[in-house]
Amino acid sequence: MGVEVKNLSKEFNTAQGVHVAVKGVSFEVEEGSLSALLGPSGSGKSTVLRMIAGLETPDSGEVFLNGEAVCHLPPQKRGVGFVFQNYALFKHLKVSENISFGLKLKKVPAEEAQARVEELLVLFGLAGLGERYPHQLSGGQRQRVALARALAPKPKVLLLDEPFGAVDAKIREELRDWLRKLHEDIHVTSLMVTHDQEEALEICDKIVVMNQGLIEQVGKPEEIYNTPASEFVAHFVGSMNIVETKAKAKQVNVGPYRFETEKFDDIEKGDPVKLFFRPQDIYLSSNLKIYRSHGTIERVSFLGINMKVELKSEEGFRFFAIIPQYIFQREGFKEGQVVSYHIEEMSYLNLREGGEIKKFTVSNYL
Amino acid sequence: MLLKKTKGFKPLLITIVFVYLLWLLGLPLWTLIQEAYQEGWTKISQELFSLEVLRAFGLTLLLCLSAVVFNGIFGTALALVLVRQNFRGKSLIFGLLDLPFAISAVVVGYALILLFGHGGILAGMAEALGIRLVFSVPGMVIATLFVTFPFVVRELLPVLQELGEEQEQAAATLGASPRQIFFSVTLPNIKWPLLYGLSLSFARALGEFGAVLVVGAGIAGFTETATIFVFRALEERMYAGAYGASLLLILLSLILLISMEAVKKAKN
Ligand SMILES: Nc1ncnc2c1ncn2[C@@H]1O[C@H](COP(=O)(O)OP(=O)(O)OP(=O)(O)O)[C@@H](O)[C@H]1O
Ligand SMILES: [Mg+2]
Repeated sequence: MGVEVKNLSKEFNTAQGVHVAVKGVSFEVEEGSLSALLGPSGSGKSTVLRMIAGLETPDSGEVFLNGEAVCHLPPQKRGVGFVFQNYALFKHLKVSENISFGLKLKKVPAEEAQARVEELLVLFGLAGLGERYPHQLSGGQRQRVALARALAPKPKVLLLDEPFGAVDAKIREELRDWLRKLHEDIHVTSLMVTHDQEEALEICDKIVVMNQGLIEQVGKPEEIYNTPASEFVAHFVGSMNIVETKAKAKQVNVGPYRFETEKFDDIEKGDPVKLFFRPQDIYLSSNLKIYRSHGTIERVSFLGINMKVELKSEEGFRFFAIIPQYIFQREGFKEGQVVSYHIEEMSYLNLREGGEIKKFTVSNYL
Repeated sequence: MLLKKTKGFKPLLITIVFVYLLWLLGLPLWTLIQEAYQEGWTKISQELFSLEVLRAFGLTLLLCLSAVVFNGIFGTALALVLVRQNFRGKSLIFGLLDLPFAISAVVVGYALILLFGHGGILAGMAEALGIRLVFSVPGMVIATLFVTFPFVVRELLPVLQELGEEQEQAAATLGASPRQIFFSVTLPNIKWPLLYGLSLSFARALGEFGAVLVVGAGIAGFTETATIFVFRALEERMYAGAYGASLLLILLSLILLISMEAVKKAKN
């Protein structure tokens, strides 16, 4: 196992009192994989990452790097590369000196270090920039210098804290693809912190979703997206419609959908229930006879390749659908129009029971 | 904005500034040079190279250098602790930082005498260590350190705050020991403000009069600094020596000021 974190906890003393930032977190990162710690601001992602690097001391728990317990070691002895959100480049050193910093400390012979720096400059698209100072670089270039500096001494594990947080959207996307390709080339065990779910879904092998110092779910991107384990994950990863309703006598109604309680033996009369469905799992037609349910288009907005259509069902539920541009054109949807719709897949959570979200295909239970 | 609209106001303002500075700085300096000239340069240079004056300048230099060395080490350490560590009473220390600016140097000198002098709380300690602190050079060093101590700390606090810890943490993950981190990351980032703070301490030590006079009692040839010498020379009507020493002090300050301007430019 590349990185293994067991039961890590961390409190901070603040002016407002004790703040528990991380509450007993455990997860694993496979050797050679690229994984993500995903969560909203303040969820404790950076704190976990910093504890793995030794920049923060956990109150309890243990960290293993390649199977070895490292909590008693200072950051110098852990062999991790760390990339900071704001790069943290050495301002007084040239790009090449930044990259060779770790090599010098490892007493790599000057010639070998020089060769390694040259190699990294080329690999990271920084050829010809070795003599510049950090302030003479663009944000994207700085980010790559920070990565090159962290990777130069060949660390066991690479940790990245919001690596693309400080660059604009376009560069962000480029760097993201580039990082994935780089990872495929060098295969160093990598764990990156991000609050951008798209980034995590797109380039990571595994995602650890954190919220308020706790882990909500660990899984492959598809698992996280298709079978969110909690309401938080459902809401946080990807777009999601969430509708709250109550189980009536032996059934739950959402519009014309009726869920018989025999089929859901955990639902009883009067239970508060939340239903989840993705906007792309909704089919719309301007022909009112095509689907059973009817609703009014309240608003449409342009998303580029897709259109976002906000609807209000006959029963008064509000939700939104995302449909491909060509279908939108073909059907000729307009605001104020009454359309028919069908929801392909739904998940539900019994709020009385709590626990995991359960998934079902709606058509089975009509 | 308002000033720009009023025609002729700007030249008037500049004239006022010039006249003010001339009256405040230029005239005294001019009188000094004038008087020295009347005494005759040969006599003045003779006086300047007398043992008394050399000793006085030597002592002043010693005090200046101690201020630089001690503030360089302890001022930097204190600034680092204040910015990096959280502890009870931190805000109290922040409040006390400017105390040496507010308290009269004479009071400081007097307090040191009470502390280390006959029957003082710390008199025994000084005795045990075998140092005499009252009416002696070590006591004057302490007085100088007291009056100069805010400069380095005040210069470094905002810079360290702005610098943050990330560069140092990056160095740590790359394998740098705390010592290597300090010398290869922290120090290069604070060297200009540090140097500026040190020059301010040097300048203050150069001109200090009250505190060192009270603690050292200005014994000629022993605890007499350059400024104390000027004071005594004037009292005893040794004008040539007084003018010469004053001019030399001014020259030293000027050199210091010019180099400080250069440091300030490098700092920004
Ligand atoms: N040194 C500290 N002192 C006090 N509180 C801290 C400290 N570091 C973090 N915290 C608190 O711990 C919580 C978790 O912080 P952390 O930086 O790990 O969050 P994060 O998930 O990385 O958020 P972001 O996406 O904003 O970076 C936050 O509420 C934060 O205020
Ligand atoms: Mg963070």
